[in-house]
Amino acid sequence: MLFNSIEFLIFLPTTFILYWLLKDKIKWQNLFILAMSYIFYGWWDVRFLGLIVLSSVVDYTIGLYLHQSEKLSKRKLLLATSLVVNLGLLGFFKYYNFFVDSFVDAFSMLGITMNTSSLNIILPVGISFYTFQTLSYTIDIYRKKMQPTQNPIAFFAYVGFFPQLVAGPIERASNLLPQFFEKRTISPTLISDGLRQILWGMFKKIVIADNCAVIVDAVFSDYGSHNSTMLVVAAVLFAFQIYGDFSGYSDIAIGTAKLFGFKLMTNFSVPYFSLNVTDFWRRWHISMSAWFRDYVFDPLLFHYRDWGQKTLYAVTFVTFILIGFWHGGNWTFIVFGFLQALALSVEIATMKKRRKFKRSKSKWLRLYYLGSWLLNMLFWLVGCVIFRSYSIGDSWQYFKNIASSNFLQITHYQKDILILIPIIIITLVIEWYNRDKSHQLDIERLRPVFRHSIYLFLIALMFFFAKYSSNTFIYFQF
Amino acid sequence: MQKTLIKFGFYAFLIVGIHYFAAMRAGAYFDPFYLRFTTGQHHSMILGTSRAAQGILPEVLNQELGETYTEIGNFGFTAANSPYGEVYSKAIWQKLDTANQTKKNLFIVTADPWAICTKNNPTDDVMKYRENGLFLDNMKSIGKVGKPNYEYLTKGYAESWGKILYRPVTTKHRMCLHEDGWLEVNVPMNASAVQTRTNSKIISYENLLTDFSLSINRLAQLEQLISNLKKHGEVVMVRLPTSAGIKIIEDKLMPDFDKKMCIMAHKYSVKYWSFMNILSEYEYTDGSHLYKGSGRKISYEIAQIVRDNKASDCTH
Repeated sequence: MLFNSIEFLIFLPTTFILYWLLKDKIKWQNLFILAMSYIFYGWWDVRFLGLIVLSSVVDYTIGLYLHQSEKLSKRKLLLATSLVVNLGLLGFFKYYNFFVDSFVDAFSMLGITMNTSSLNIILPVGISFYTFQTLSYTIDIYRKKMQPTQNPIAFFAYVGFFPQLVAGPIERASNLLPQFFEKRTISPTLISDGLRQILWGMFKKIVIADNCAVIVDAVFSDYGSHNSTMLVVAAVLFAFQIYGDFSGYSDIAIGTAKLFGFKLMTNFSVPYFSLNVTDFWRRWHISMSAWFRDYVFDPLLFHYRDWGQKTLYAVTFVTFILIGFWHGGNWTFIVFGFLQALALSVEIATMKKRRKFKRSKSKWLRLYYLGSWLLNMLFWLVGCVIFRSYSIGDSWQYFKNIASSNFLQITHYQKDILILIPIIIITLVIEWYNRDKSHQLDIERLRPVFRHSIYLFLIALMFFFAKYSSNTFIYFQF
Repeated sequence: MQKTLIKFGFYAFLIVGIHYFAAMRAGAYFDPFYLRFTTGQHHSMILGTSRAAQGILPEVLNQELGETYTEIGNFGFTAANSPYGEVYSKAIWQKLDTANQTKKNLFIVTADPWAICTKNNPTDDVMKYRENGLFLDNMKSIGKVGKPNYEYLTKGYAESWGKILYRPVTTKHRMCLHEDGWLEVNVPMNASAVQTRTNSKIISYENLLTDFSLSINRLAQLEQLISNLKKHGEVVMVRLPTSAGIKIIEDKLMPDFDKKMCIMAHKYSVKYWSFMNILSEYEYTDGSHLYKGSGRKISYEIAQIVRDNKASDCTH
């Protein structure tokens, strides 16, 4: 079920009340959370439950055997089994048609026609997230960074924990799993903080993301009919749509987890104020980039360290192409990842010079930071266009249309854009003001009259601008 | 803890309260479909896309045919929501009251090429139909009587609930959905405004030509619908008129559309009338949709066809 749905509005308070009636009974709470998480997930499609149970059973079992086994070859085999099962499931449901179609296209370029058929495969919601979550468990046990749990209920609850099940944050077992063995407590402060974060997440999703989506979808599906201004505006709005959608979901997930006494990791940290691509990826989808850093980048860098500086560049490209590919079976995502790697490589190559310049305390420093921020945002917008386009050809044509058309006026959705601009600005101001806080609506320190005014203001904005008819979160497709 | 729960209770009450207030205020002016989900089931229906929704007045048909036929309601939506197919058929059966009546039932089935075409779907895959996942596909309370219909407001209504409160004021003179299902559209009808809207419509339809293609599945669904509706009453197939510019585009899309409809009408022994030969007699808001005066006129003409039992207009 969606967070922004009537069903969830009934599900959440019911689960909350019943959960805390089981206060101090950790095992019963875990079992209850597991049951409710499966109900939450099964609401999408009950068939999806089979996959998450399979993934959980495989990794729980492998975790136990990994810990018992000392023989390296056996440990490698067990880890390989976990990887094959989880990545195999992911590969089949997410990438089968991509590989088939790419295969056919490649052969057709050689003049060979292949008769194959794509399958109508439904992508199970959240598969990219929970498979990575369970993989982190088995990999950490293999590395002897943690011990497996002997409690299947706790483990299954960790994998299926409903607040973060379908779109992250991708939690590490070392962070979340121990919380299933600790006594959870609730307090007025925690409830208030959790509800504030949920409110902020809902606002970003149903006011910013969904309103941007109307314009973005209309322009991207018919970009040939729009002038340069509209194409640029749509690209900017997509940047805010994807941010509002994804960070909004993360805020709702983290806030919801707080209501049950769980602490999830921060997933976004005001990324649109970052000054370069390196900084951006430390602030955007932090749980995913950290996962790739710990399980792809660092191991590869260590393994091929003898290659010297070349390793760093090569591993950066491999990691970010995989990050791009993680988002979906389309060449647009691979190109997106490639471009991120290219930018990061430039930053690696120029790192010493840039540091030297920053230390020089030049009078041009402010201009340098402004320029860096603008360049970073421009680069991100280019990435957004590629990310959002249906194909590489479409994205190329989109850029060509920007260059060849005219920048005269906003021809459509003028009223909607005029309303969105101040809302986006207000959001950015709030985010900047609270950038060092745990979340951007962490306003406990304000006087009650200001706090409640902000709540009422956000509720009013949601009432007058939110679109409630089933608008799914973008990242559910991953 | 008590204080926190009281504060939360206040906000919950406020949020639920303003939404309930907005839902109770939802009526004729804020949305082009809502009242079709609060007025219960129909015995007789007008079916099709937005051309039917705006172009055929149930009030006229009821006035002319009320002695012989049961009261008719308009159940036309848009080319995106109600092209012929499983989704629309399923919705029609939810809306249709099949209980026996003393009078006959009447079904005006309007058709145009767009309603039997599929978009960006050369293999005619039903899973990729444009109406899939939209409100007609998802709703269970289509035949509901009484307001508010929360299911439509949460699944179908695409704007904010706040707009329910102020939209009636801003759109009162532009759009009104009547309880009988007729969508009255009031727009400036001076020559310049009509020409601008028509030109824009022609450009958008021309752009769609390459995306749309005949759907054999939709054609089959339309046949099945007619066959099933015949068991419950009299069926009349109608092609509403458009401006000359739109006709040219539709002839490009499907030059043998009238022929296909004639064959279907003959097969199921129903009447088919195409008003496309006399399209200059009518006024259009945008070249594609009849303006209300012309809608009234054509409704009289359809009533006449039914009352006088005129033979099919199949000279194609």
